[in-house]
Amino acid sequence: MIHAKNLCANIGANQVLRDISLDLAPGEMLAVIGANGAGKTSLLRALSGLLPLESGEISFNGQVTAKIAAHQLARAGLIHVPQGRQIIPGLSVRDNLTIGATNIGLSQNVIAQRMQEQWQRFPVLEQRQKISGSSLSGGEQQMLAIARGLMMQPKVLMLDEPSLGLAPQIVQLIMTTLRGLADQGLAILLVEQVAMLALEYADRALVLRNGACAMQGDAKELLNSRELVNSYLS
Amino acid sequence: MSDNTLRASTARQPSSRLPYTVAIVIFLLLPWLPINGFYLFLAQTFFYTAIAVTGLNLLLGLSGQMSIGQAGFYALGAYGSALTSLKLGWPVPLSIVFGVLIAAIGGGLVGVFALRTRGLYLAMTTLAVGYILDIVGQRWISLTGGAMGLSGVPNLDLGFPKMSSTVFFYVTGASLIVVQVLADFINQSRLGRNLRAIRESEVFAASVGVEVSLWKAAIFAFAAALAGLGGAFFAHQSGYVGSDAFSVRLSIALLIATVVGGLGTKTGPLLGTLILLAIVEVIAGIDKYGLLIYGGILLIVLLAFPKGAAGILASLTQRLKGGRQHDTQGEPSQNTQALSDAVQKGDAAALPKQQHSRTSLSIQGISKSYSGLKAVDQVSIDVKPNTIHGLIGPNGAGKSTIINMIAGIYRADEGSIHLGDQDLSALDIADRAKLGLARTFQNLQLIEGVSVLDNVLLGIAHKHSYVQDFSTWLSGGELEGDERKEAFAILEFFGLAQFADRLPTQLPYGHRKLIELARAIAQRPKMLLLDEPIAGMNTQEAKAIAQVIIKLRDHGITIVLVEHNMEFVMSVCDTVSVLNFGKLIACGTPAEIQNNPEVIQAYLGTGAKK
Repeated sequence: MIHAKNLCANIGANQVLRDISLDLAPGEMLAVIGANGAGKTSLLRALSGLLPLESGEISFNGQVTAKIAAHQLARAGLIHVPQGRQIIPGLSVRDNLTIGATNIGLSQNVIAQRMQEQWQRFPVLEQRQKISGSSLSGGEQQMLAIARGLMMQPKVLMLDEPSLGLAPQIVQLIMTTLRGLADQGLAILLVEQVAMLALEYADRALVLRNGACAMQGDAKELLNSRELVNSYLS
Repeated sequence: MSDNTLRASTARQPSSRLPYTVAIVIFLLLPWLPINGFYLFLAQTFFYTAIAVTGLNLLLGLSGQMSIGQAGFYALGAYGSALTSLKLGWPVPLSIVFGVLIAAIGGGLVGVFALRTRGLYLAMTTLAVGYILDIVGQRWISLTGGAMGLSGVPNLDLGFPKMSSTVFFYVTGASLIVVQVLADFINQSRLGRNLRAIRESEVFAASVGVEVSLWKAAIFAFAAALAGLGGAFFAHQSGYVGSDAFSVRLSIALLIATVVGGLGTKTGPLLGTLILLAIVEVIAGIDKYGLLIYGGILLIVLLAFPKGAAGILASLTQRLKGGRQHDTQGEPSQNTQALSDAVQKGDAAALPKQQHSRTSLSIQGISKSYSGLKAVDQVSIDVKPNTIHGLIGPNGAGKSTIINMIAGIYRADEGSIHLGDQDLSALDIADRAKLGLARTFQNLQLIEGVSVLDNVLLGIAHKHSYVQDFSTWLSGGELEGDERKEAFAILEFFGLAQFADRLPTQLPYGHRKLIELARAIAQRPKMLLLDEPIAGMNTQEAKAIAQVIIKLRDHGITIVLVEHNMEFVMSVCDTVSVLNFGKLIACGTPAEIQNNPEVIQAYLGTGAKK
């Protein structure tokens, strides 16, 4: 689904990605972990076309993305759920949910049907569909952000720190939902600060450090390795 | 580098006196040339308008404080002078001084009231003040005559009634020359440097010891005084003061002259005023479209020539001289190796002696909450003298909050912070800086428009008063000679001496981080706070910084740093404190920290299933 090779990118004079390669197949959940400032968010932004590459190549669905604008990638099914949820405060839950799907020109029927799916997935959102998105709790906002992404018929769902600031039960609910989506065939790229959490649910993981790939491999094997600790603390 | 090279590379370009001389000769001769009296009138108008614009240029161009209310101060000067001379019969020079004083007081008050507002809000505040003064002028008819105005305002003739026009020409012209000389001095001296620091960021300015509120009030008062002087001259030139002369249109015209001339440049106000008056003359007949044309010109200048007429002139002369422009990026970036070599050789003994080295920092039970969320909770940290102490922790652990509480940006809700035996709790940022607390910033704070050397000078404590500096400068002597030598020695230690005359923006990021560190060292700190010292650096630059930091510790400076790069933290720090969710969870040597289970958990988190 996504095939990225030797990605390098700068922000100003600062090299934030150094020679990173990754592959993501349908039905797979790949965790990108690493300490603060390791380059996780930059990698996500590069993949979704928001951060220009210095060198390297990304292909999505067999197509090189270099000349495709970020919004076109989103239309093609490469969906980025940003850090901090980015719920639009003035809009109702329902409007927040449909804004992406409406923008990419899905028909009203399809939108209604997909909305039903999201209500089933996150019943609490249906109860609150009329209230303002900003009055939701943090966990509900995260559900809304994920549901908004799912409305847009994603082929790849990329999430930036969905567990940030959420209570453990909510985190578990969200992670279980994501795992379920992957098992149904969606490709998921999960950026997480909480490494142990991400490794528990993901199939494979990429550990970033100072913008480069420090380790990668099977998530369950990484879970108990001392090298993982070293990559954070030395 | 020998003493001669130092002189060659640090001596200020002696401010050329030729332009001044030519201007003065033309100025003295002009009234005696056989020209139309109208041009004399125009010249007078140019002089006093340029005075007002010069004030705004210092305010906006140097200190970055926006005022859309200068017409209000212009009106204060005009009414102050007109009323005292007309109704109280004061001699005209005295009433002009009075008008200027009134305007200065008004400006100073706005400066004080505007201390809490910034950017857009400050602009709105000054706009409101301008409106209020405009309306007072219109409605307080018993005093100002309202729209009917005050007529019969006496001329400024200094006892030569037959030559009043010539006398007025000389007085306004001489005033402009004095103002221009003062403005040049401000531009070139540490006055200008401090104002520029305020423009970059007020926290940054305070952290190098600038008392920001005082400076802001002072520069507002000075700019208002110059607007008031312009207004007073205006009143005595026309002999009539009507309230419709001081509308917001005048404020905007002054602002446009400042921006079109070139913000923060030396010649900008003169060029801008010239352009403004030319437009006014040309479009006098199509008054309806006046604002439209102003707006259009402003838009074009902002989009196409951000440095204004002065910028265009400068690049033209540059081209005439044969384009002696520095190749900006290439050379220094090839120089990273040389940089780290220089840093390796750099001898800390060459640095200025620290006055009170070996100082400890003792943090006792400090807490800080933001709207109910405890960002820092009862944290105590003892930083031993002469050590490098690292502060680490995952996102949101409270590191920045602690740094900000040490520096004085935030006050702790409870607990105390002592530097040596000095309690910092009640002190503001600038006071803490003066006590020997220097810092660098996560997102790099330098003054962009001045040289690398000037940036280091910003940190150096000065040995002379402003009056002494001014007389040195007037007599053509070298300004801040000793301070420049000291700054240069610090740059040599950092391996940056060859870039002393460059602008920071011409250098790569890693070099700029070092310049910031050099400025902090110039403050002769007892204690150095480094907020992410190697963020954004390449490996070689990071190594150079590590070496510098260790040398500085050995030189007697106590260092606290926040950094995410663990390799750097673990190799440089003597002691590391770990924060998580606002609490101190561990403190020890790097090896102890790396094996502490609680720290490992803080960094890697826990799963959801267990």
